[in-house]
Amino acid sequence: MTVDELIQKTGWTLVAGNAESDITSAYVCDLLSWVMAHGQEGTAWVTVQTHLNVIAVASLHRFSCVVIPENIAVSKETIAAANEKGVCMLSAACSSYGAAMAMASFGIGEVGA
Amino acid sequence: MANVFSEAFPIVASDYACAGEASAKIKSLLKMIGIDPALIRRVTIAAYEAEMNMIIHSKGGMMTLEISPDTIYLACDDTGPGISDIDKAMQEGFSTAPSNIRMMGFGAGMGLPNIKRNSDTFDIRSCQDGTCLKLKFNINQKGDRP
Repeated sequence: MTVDELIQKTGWTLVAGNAESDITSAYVCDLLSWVMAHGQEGTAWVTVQTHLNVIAVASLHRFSCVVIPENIAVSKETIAAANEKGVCMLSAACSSYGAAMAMASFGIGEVGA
Repeated sequence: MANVFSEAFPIVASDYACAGEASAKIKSLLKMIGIDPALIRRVTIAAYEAEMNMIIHSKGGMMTLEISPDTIYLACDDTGPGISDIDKAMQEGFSTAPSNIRMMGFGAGMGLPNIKRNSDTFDIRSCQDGTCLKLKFNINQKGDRP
């Protein structure tokens, strides 16, 4: 499933980047070292963190998208960094748990699964 | 053995806006010369954790990448204040990061363990004047070892 197809199914909002990438897995975590250790290329990463280093981690692992739950505001600086580095960011109204449930219902599995 | 490539990356203390840029450049270089993707992943994870450690905990320093035909070397040298108890710092979950840094999702106490897990040779020395971390990654070995 591509990020664009995920947007179509969920109604989540594209905040930065483009939605062309394929989603290979999903991961929910707010500790960046854990995400660095376990993330994979194509992962959709759900996190409440919105600072600039989220973009660095997502870019290093070439994540398919970063999903920010609960309509948490994302700063202009983070959006600009995401656009510059080609990182796709989505905003969702649901919680991290809700985002995980939604992606699981579309057949998106865990990292390494 | 003559090194075929060397590049140094200055790391500025508390520069969160540029955090990860040195690691991104290292990843790009390794990709450009055709290193195995699984090995690139290991080097990138180690480089990122080392870079963040220097940004969060040190007064700044230098990361130096050297590539020989069979080995990738990554040296991280900072100017202090050093790690008072390396054995504790190597324990997963142990962190001295302040609360504002933890709020950003850093300081999980996974940095040094992640670096050791992803490198083939890990050497760390520290005193008040600084910390010196030397890592080696074997190019000819299968990349996805850990």
